[in-house]
Amino acid sequence: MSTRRQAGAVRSLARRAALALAVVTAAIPGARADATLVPIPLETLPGRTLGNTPVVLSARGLEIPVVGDAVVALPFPAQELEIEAAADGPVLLSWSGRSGSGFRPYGPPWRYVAVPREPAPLRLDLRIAWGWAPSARPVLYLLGTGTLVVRAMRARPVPRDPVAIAAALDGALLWAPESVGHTTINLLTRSYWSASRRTWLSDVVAGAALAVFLAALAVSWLRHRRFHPGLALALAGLVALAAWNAHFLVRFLPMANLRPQHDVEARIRDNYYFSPEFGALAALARATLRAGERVGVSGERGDWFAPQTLCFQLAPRPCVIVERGAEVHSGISRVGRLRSEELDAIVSFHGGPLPDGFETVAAVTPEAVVARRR
Amino acid sequence: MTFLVATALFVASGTAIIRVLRLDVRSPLADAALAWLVGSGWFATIAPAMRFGVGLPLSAVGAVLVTLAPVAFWGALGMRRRAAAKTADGAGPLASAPAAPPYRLPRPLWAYLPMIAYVAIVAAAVLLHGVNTPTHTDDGVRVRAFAPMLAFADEWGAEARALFVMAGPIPTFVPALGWMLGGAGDPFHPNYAVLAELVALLFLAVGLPSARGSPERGWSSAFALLSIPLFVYHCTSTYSDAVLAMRVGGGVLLALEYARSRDRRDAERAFLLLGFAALVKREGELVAAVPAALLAAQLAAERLRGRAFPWVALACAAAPVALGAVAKVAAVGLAGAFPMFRVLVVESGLSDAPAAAVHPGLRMQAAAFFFDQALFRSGNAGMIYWVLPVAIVARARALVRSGLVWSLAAVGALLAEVAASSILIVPQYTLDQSTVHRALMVASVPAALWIAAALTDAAAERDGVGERDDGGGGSAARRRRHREGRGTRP
Repeated sequence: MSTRRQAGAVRSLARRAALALAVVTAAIPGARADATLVPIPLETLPGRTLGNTPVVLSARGLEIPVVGDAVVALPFPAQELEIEAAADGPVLLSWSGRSGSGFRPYGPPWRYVAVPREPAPLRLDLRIAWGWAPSARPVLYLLGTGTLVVRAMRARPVPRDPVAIAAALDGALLWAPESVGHTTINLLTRSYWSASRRTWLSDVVAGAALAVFLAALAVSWLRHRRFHPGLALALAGLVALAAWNAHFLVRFLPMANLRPQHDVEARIRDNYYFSPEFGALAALARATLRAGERVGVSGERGDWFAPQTLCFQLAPRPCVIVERGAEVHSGISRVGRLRSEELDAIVSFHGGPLPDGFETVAAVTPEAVVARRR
Repeated sequence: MTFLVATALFVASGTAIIRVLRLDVRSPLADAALAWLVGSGWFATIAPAMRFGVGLPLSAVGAVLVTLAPVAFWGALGMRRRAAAKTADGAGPLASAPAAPPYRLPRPLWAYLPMIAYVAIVAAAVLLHGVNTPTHTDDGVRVRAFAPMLAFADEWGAEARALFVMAGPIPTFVPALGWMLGGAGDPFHPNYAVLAELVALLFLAVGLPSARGSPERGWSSAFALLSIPLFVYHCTSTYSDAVLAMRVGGGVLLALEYARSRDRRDAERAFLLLGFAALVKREGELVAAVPAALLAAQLAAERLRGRAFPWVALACAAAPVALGAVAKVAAVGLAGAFPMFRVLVVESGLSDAPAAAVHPGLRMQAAAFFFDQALFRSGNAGMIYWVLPVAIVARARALVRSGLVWSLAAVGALLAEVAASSILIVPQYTLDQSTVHRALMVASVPAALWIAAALTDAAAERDGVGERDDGGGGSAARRRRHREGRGTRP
């Protein structure tokens, strides 16, 4: 065995040992009580992650290139991660658990955060994401265009005690904030009193309200020697509604965007919460294209969100969704038609190469561009 | 900014209509709310009827003329009445409802402060988040918020007309007025329109009972209304499900008020709001017809006891429905104008068209899911459907004596309608949870308002008991109603 190979093997062994030491040390009884986040040596990660993108260690940290989407499955279980990260482009970081066959980054619930341009700590609670289990590996699902640089990573390990695991899961899920996703319009995240035991929060609140009802009846009997079911009902009903509302408020307020923004364009640019790259492109296209320009919007195959929403934001400009290979294209809900040669501009969101005759005039990223006919 | 101007025009228009019809309540909050609901409904009734029925393109000037026509009519009527009053030396012009007493805070204040705080916090959060959040797609395939942009651009090809029928006249035309006035620079107008509906309903819920001496009922209604989590979230979106629920809820709120006040004008206001509710979404007519039919049944039952049936009010409520239908038929033809009726006919086997084959097992699963998850467990409706049956059982005797039973029947019928749709017609959308929870909102909002009414009555019962124990004979409110010749409350 050559000296170089021996050195490589030693480095690999050292990385594995450091990773194992970090995770095992963090998992010892008592570590949970002080809620310690254990540093994960970044040099232990390259070569041990799974996914569709290379993870490279550089002087800046762990670099993960993102064009479209990138998946990185970390090689250790955890219940919480804190990463100090930045991206040089608009990148959305979603997370979920991976156990067994796969993972579902979009949930529901879909847990995500827009990666900031300047390094900042991002707290990823894996327990409240889809697919978490004590043995599940964290999956980072990156959407956008740019390079994510992780400068430090810390993990809260999974406790060994099954009771502690259940308590950690139940507590996290009970108070987890709601997050806006494509399916939120149809249903909110389910609320469990104890997710580990599948005890619904509604059952517990109803039980508490029933107890209040009975107690109020008893008090009225003791004080007036007669029952006042009306007052007892009012109290119990109020308890039921108020308890649920208090819980809802805790989950709703962190999700709500409460920062007043007067500027319409800034709201479009900044507030597509789960697609910062898209929001930036929509605002750029609105600023770039003149009223009356005939626009074609091009997106990834199967992307139903970006093309339609772009056309909406560009209205009342004539706008169609460009179908590759087609000569005639139509707009939202098939309203309006334009032939390819009638298009003055193309707005492409991960839509691949521009059609012949168009050149980029403004860009958020190389994948999110506004182009005009030459 | 242009949306604020449009709002002022709608409120002016609505104020004129309710003054002409003598349906104002002389309470600034409640009248402003009614004015928005009626004024925007008026515009959404006339604008598509003119555009599709008569074929007149809708310009900014035309839109303003449509909006201000009731104001001009009100002014002309007022001048005529003033002239007549001068010659006859009679009463002042357009005397309507007596002035409301000043507002007061609910009592005991310490008990209501948390509710008021909750209403204020949630309403503020919804307004901010709703204003801040740009439009997303609907169902992954549609952008209903696009319909008002078509009204603004006045581009009505065949596909655009189908979108108008899908969205309904109110979601299509109301957000467009601001754009017509100032150009479509601000794509958030559909958001503002939904939020204006919420503000109007909250104003109505709080303002009307408060103006009648019962702020407790008003704040309870607002609190219950915001106790439906998915409804609260929907108000921050540009979907129309919340708008339909709020329009129907407004009608039921006034029907509940009628149960207490026995004032026929409350029933007439309810009819009017339910008529406009039919102009939201493609299923608006079917949904609004349910509480309107039960209110009509209530009034018909009263006719047997000698009170006149308000045919004029019913005609006023039917007018927007009829004009909306004319606009839809003119836009897409009879076959496409009422897609929900067509679905019902096909499903019931009255049509030759083949119904979607739904396995009976699927319907059973959907039924189980509907009653377990959608109503009670998922949390999308909060605790509304837990409290509702308990309130019915615990207050059964009182309900039988009160007019609330008619509103309860309306809530039950709405729930049955949604259940039939979710279990029999589209069970697959119940099981995949793509529509069931938001379809329920048209029943949940009226149910919440009914619960608030029932619980407020239940809490007030203790006053009556105490006074009976003292040999009293009724609370101050009851004595006041007795003096006014109104009915009793349970």
